[in-house]
Amino acid sequence: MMLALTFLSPGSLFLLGAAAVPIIIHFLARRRWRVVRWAAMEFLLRAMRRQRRRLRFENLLLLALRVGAIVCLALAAGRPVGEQDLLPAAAAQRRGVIVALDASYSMLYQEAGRSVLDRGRELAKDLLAKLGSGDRLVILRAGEFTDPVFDDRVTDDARLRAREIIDMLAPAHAAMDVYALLREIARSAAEIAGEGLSARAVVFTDLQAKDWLRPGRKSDPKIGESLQALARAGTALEVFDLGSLNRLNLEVCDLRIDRTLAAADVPVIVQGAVRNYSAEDAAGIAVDLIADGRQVQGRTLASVPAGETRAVAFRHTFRDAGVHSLALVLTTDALATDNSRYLAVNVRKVVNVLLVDGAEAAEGRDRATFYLEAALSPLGDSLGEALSPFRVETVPLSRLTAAALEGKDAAVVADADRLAMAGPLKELLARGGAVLVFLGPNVDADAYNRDLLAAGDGGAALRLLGPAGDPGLRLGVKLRPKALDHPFVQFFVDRDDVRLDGADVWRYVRVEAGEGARVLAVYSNPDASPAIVELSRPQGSFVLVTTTADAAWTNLPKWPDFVPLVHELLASMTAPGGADRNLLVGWPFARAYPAAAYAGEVRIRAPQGGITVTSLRNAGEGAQGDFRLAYDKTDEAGLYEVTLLRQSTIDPLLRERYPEKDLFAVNLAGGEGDLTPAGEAELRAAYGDAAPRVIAPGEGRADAQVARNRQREFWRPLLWAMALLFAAEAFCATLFGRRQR
Amino acid sequence: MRDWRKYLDPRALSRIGRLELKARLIVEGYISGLHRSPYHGFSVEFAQHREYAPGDDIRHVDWKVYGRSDRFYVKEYEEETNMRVYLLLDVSESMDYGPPGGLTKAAYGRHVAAALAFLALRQQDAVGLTLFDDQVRTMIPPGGTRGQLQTVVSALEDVAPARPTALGDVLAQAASDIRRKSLVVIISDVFDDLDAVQAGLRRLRHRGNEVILMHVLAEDELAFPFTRMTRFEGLEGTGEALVEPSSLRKAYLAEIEDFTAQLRKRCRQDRTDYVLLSTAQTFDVPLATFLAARARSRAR
Repeated sequence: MMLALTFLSPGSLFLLGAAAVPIIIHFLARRRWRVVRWAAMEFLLRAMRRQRRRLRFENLLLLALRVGAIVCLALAAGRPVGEQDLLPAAAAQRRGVIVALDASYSMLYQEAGRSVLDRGRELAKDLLAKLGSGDRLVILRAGEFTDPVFDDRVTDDARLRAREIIDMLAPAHAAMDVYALLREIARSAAEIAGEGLSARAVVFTDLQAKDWLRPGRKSDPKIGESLQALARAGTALEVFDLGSLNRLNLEVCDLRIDRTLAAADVPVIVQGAVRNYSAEDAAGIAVDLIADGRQVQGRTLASVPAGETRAVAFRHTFRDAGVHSLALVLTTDALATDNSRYLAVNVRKVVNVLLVDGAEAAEGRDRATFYLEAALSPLGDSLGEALSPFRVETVPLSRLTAAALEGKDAAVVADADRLAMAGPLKELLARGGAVLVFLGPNVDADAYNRDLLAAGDGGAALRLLGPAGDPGLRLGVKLRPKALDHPFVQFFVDRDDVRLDGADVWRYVRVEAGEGARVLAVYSNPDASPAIVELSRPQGSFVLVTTTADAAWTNLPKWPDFVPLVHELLASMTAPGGADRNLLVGWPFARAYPAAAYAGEVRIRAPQGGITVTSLRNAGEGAQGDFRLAYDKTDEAGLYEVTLLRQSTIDPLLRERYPEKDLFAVNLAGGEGDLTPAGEAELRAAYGDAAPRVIAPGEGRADAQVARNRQREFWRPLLWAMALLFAAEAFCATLFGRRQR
Repeated sequence: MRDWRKYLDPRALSRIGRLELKARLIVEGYISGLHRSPYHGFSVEFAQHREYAPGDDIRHVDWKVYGRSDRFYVKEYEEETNMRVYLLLDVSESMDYGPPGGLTKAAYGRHVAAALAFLALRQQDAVGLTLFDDQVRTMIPPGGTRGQLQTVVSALEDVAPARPTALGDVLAQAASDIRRKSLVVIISDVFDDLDAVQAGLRRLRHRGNEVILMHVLAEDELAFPFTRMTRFEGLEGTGEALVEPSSLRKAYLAEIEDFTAQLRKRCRQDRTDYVLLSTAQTFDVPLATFLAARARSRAR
């Protein structure tokens, strides 16, 4: 292996001057002699003439051995480190070399003005220069997927192309999948072996433990099998650990608002979180909230302890409806990619809700809609800002007319004896509105079933069976979430501040949910009776809660959790698909746009400025159908702008409802910011002899890291070489008769 | 009882000044060891018995006669007087090398020559001496008188090596100068052209001489024990070299061994006695070699 030496203690190299000592001694010895008047001169001269060549060779050899030994000693004192050229330059036979560059975004970690990836590129090009003509070179870009980006015989032209490819190789906003990488290496190695060449793979990576090992530093079986397969195939695998010694990194790991539905002029709580992946505490971390591209607020986190996460919250008010962007941005650290997190929020105007009270005779707290009014219309705060996006109007069931629903986005029906589904509610649903129904003592199950059946569009999927539970109202059951991927249910999952299962339900209406009905929550009784059921409908949203909205059958309305329950239910019903605007890298963006409002072309601008023009695919029929946009080039974290082409024939009054701009956010999957390295010893402990050879970073300052990442200290071999040279000198001197006996 | 044999060691002799005395001590030391030596009887031949008189060496008492006759008789030996011994000593500059504190090759050669002269004269041989470097510097014709030893020793003591060697030429000249069959003892480091040396030796042998080549090399020349960086400056103007000795020892020793092996081989070809002497070596080896050659010469 060719080596380029540098020295950690260059001051000690003055000892190299000692190499001149044997030479000086040699010449001094020739200047200091004694004189002997000699008779047998003829024989001496004859011996000299015969031995001249041999003597010169012996003298030079001994001198070289002595000088070499001293040079080795001096070099060892200088603590030489060798940059490995990775390939034996003298190897005459053709080779197959697979070069894999870790393209995960952690490779963008900056140090001394250069990224780890830049160093990887440099090393890869060094290696490229060592390849001989006719060698086969495969270059792999190792990210979430591993792509071969170059595969050719090495020629001058190919070398140039390969260099360009290495320079152009862009990092992915994702982690490296080691298993995928090893599979691709094995595939390429098999091809190389098929040509009768020996395959060698060199991976340039920051060697994050999370990529190579499972939590707890345990082996990953799939990776282990792949490594063993490579070892069996005789493919040499070397991993260059380019990771920084410092590995200090903070990540914005969360950004959300405290509700599913955001409305104009209604403040929301923007919640973020910062994780410290370093081994040291971080202090004085500045965090900025960016709204629609402008910094609106800033906070400073006093401390983020090592390995921990700290939450940060902002109160923010969107002033107008439409899709807005939020970004939480950290003070830049060495790895900038994970210093930001993005959120796209569809801000509605105020949501108008009609509450329909089925218990017309009751008054005060006994009214079926009493608690709903309280939940949906909380009092404003001291600043006079509204706390709810909902504007509520209550009518008795007898006044549920089309006129009453005019301008309403949703209707909440409480304890009505029947549904007028074929009437105004059906119209509300048809125009995309939401109907939320709470049952109660007044409910006539048969009448409901008839109305649901008459309403069509999936109403038949739900059938009321009659009241159930404890008639004495003493033995309650709890609510249990069921459809965990539903936005409403997700709001309650893994939260400590609000919960779905706090209150007791003593009585409810048993329902039968058929195909087309989705049970969002059940009761905690043995047969898990449906508690909240959503009907799947082509238009509008219909949800049935099988107990009361008042305190007749449950104490739920008296619990604080009732407010978010009603809010989130209505939010998920009136803003369907809102969660789809916030994706992770690699997830496709899919959204339907009314065909009646938009033409078939859309322009998408990626965070780095790349523009994609695509056509909307018609997913429906006629003017009532939808265009469906499917976009999967979400490989960059950031905000994506969608520019739609609105139909020129659209009613100017509806233009506000069908904006020409849309927005979605793509975020990092998280965890890639954990730069904790996996050492060779850990890999060997996990994968045994199949573990790759790791060329590990040396110790010392970070700015010397670039060199040391591919360095090995050579003072030990040099000392061995010195000892061998001295031994050889002693042997030769004895052999040549130079030792005095 | 005085242990004469210690005087066979050059180091023991180094404390004694007079060469004549040294020669005597060497020979006495050697002779005293002959009682247990196979060389016993080589030097003198038994002639008759006479009655023991005070002052006679008790070693010469014939105990067998005493056993038979109960009277003391001593053996009398017939001393030879007809052997001519030529001592040729190299006194060139290269012989002036010796390790610090040790004998130079020239000094060692002087001791050997003096001892051989003493031994030969003691056995009634006529002894001559030739000192040479690139030519003959001193020549003392053979003689067997009492004063001959003094003459030889005086000449040896006057040696001052300063000139290069031309052993081949000197041997050739000696071959022509020696007219009667003789025992020729050459004491030299033989740092000369081997072909010329061999030619000179061959000529000596062809004239019927018994020839002994006593090849004297310094201890250092045979072991090359140097360790420090050394500048070797050649005697006799043979150049110089800055050498790390340990690196060259092996090759140098191989060269020396090859040289002595070559010389030994050539001597054997011409039936010349060859003995390699180190300046650290005791003197019994050259004396024994001399006596063996003398016996062989007389037997012919």
